[in-house]
Amino acid sequence: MSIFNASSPTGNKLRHGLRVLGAVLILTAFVVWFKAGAHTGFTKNRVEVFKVDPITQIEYTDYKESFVMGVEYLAAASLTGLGLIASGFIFARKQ
Amino acid sequence: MRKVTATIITLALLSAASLQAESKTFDFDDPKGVNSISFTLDAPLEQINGSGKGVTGKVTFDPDAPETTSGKIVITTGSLTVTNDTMRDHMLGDGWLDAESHPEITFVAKSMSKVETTEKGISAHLAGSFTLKGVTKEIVVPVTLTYLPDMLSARTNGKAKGDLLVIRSNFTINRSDYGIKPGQSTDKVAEVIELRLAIAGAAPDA
Repeated sequence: MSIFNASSPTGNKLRHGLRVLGAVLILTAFVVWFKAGAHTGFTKNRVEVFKVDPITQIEYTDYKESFVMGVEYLAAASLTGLGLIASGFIFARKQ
Repeated sequence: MRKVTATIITLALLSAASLQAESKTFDFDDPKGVNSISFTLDAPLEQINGSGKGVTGKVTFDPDAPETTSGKIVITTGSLTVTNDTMRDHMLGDGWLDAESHPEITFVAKSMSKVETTEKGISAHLAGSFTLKGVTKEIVVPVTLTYLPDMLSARTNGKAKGDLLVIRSNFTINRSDYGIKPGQSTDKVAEVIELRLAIAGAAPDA
């Protein structure tokens, strides 16, 4: 009996497991991305810190090393999650 | 009578010399790291913001005759930074700015026009040669000059006395004019580059 057989207990568990794992991955990615500031651009290795020189009043940009998760991580996690969910359905059809 | 005439002539020469001495050379090398040029490329799919701090150069400025301002400002291409290391490597690579072959971005000021004194300082149009990636174009940019006499001391915690000159300018260039991948990737890298310059130069007392 193959594990791809939907009627088998192992196949059922695998299909459900893949779907749940996919959904959890997508949800986790969104939560982490949102908590990290919901940055809509690409990932940053450093962030801008805006400062003003008190004597000349020049506004200038300094940088602070910091990781800010970008949309490419969100997209990659979402695609992987969708792939896992889709795999669960594909296995179901192979019964 | 001869002594009086001689004294008058001497005083006249001295005052003329002091008037000529009003013109000062300001050094824009900035160890404090305040001087910078910021840039923005606002493309439909992506906005790129960054700045460069490798500013050097000298400008001669006379507060009584600002229209005579001249000089050269240099920005080290390799000092340009964005918030993503990979993007920075691409930007400085040979496909884009080619920082290794073209290590400097320069502006040589040649003449000033439309000089006006405003609340913020002296506003004018500055004509000069702008060189980027080895391509030189004659451009005219709006500038604001703020002359801060005797303010160098405040900036150096009393270590040096002298004057400060702040130059501000916002202008745009087209990257295709300077051979930076003309017509390519315009959805992600805008054709128009917005530049914002804010730099302070120091002229220590002799």
